[in-house]
Amino acid sequence: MIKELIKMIKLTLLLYVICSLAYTFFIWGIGKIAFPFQAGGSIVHRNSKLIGSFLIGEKFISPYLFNGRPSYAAKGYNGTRSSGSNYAPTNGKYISREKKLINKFLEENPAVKKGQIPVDIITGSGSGLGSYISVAAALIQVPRISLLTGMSKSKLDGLVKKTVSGRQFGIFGTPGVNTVRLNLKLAAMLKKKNNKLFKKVFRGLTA
Amino acid sequence: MTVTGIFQMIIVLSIMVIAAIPLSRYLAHVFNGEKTFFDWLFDPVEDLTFKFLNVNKEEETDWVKYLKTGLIINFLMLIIVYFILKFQNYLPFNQMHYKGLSWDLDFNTAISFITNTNWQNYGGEEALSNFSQMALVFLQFTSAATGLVFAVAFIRGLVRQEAKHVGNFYLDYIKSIYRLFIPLAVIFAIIMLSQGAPQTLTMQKKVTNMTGVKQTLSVGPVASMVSIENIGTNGGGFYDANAAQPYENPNPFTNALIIFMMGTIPIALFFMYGIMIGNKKHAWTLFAVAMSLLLVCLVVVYSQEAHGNPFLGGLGVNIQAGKNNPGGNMEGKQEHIGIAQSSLFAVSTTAFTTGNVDSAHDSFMPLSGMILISEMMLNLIFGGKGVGLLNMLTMVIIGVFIAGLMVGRTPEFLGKKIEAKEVKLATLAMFAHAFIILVPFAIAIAIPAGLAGIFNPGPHGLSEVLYAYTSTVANNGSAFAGLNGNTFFYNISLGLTIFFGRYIPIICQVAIAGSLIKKKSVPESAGTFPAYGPLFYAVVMGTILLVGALTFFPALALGPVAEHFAMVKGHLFY
Repeated sequence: MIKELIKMIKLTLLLYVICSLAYTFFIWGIGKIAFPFQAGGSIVHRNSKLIGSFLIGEKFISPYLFNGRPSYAAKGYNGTRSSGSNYAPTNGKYISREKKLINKFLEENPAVKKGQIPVDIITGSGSGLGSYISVAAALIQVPRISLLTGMSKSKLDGLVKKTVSGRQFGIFGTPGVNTVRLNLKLAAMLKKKNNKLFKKVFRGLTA
Repeated sequence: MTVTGIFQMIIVLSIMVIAAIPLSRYLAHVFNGEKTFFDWLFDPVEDLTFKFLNVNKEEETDWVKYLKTGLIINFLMLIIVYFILKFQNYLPFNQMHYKGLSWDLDFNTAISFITNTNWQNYGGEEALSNFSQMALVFLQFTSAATGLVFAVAFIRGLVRQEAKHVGNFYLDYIKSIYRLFIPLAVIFAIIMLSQGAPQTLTMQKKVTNMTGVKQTLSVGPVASMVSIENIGTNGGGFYDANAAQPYENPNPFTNALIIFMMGTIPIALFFMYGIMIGNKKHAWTLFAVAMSLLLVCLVVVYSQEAHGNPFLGGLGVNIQAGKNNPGGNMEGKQEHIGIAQSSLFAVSTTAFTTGNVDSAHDSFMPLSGMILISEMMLNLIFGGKGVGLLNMLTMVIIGVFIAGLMVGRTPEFLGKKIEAKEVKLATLAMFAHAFIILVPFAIAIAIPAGLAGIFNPGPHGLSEVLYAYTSTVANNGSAFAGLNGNTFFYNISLGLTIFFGRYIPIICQVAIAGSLIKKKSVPESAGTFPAYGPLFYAVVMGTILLVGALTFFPALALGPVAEHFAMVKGHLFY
């Protein structure tokens, strides 16, 4: 029996070393060599400062920006606390909360009529860290941003359309717009148009 | 529902089935000890391993020793991981200085991972060091292998005649890890890396967003975990939100790839079973049973999710899908992944008992939630590593027995007589599953400690508790995550349901194999009930539905069904 037990202990330790340590470090090494950018979290630089990742959404709540979806990751887009709202569709508190979100959205975007609000812009993503909004949710914000920044609607529409990520390989997923990408492009446009406003809105991009 | 949505589902499911066919042949060769193309690579490594372990790989054992070896090794692994999690503050790769887990949470987590469940009462990025996450990866390999080798032992019980030995545990175990899980895990980890899953030893990176807001991003050895958690149908993700966290599932392609990783091996095991018993028609019939159940579930979930939440529609939200608008029930779903992929993911993760989620199941429509719970209650729609096949065969034995009684013949299955002993064990396995779900569930909703964890009001709260016990007993691990499970009561009770839910059925099933292996095969005659074709399909399906519906319907009626009808009437819960 003892002999048998020694075999089992040896097997356990061997597999621990292979499956936990060797495997993880092997993949880590491949990441270092072949995919350093992705392995590091796909983090992008501007003015040699780390400003975030295209994969992870950010707290875009200023009316000058393309706003993202409501986030339930702690106080919103907290990269260390991924979580959805977990509200049930029949939860009365949830529906009251949605009413507030809808009213706020209609107030900020007076051009939008009831019945037009894209569903994703007033509901939270599964992790609270999704960076995508639907094409409709981006386009519907154009009149507001145009009014506040003085940039033409057609230019902003064009910006959204250029940033759309279609179905991957033409098949997978739903078309959407990455808000991190979109707002970075917006920043570049705004910088040319109104540098003062740019400095006020995009504090993280001023060197 | 959109055409593009349905098209995505058909593509993913078809590729899974097509890939499963060659994989099943490879697996059959591996476990039959026949030559494979990769022997030049694996043979020397395996020989070295057996030399180190001092194991004679030719030596086979009976089912009792096979089972005992497996269970003791499981126990040893459990202990190692329990202590790693407990003392993670003294171990490396813990820059955030996370404390060791409390003993009840640690108990729950270690049991959860050794049993292939991966129920998570902790939030990965908030509670575990990278070293602890890596320890869980170790169990993700070994628990998948455990389920698989027990299924192989069961199949040998059917194949071998008047024999005693079901195989060599060490040999089967090492082979399944070396020849299946490690190569696939490496390949898919590299693909996930290329798509954006991080792989770092540091735990966090600090950035300042373009708006000047400071943000901290949780990183770590994610790619390596995502790959084995899905290939091994474990499902315990690196992050609290699992595959809804973009680092774990960066884009719609990886979403489809994850579904592929979860489903291909369980489907291949059905075909492998057909090859090993030499009756492919029989395996294809069982495949048809499981696949039709999967498709029905998919239709219900997708139609419910695409239809959306009527309450939001009433408030002036556009829930109709259009060219630019996703429509449907988007609460808790990732926009770019969309309704169709999220529905397929949810149905797959509960069918293949993975438990990884790419959307918040708690926010699904009531009837979708019911389907997800039902899939785990049946736990045989392909199922997790080996276990799904074992559950399906348990149901087959009961079905064949009932059919035999109806025509007044001694029931036989693949030429072997099914007698009182096998039927008793099969019934025990089946009822243990139902009993361990329903009794603790009933206790939890009757006591304050159980009710305290509920997040959503009304019948949905009941569904949260029902989901938790079903998911743990089925060793699935997904959750209606509103439920606060990190309390003493839930840590312990769910830990126990995981434990009994895993080992009681498995022990019964391996015992059936031990009993069947001694019997000789009776040649087929005109009176033999064919184990394939439409009639057999009907018998198996009928057994599954009758047993499933009768046992679980009352609980489902109180939760999701009640919630659905309240919703249709426009009633909200506070």
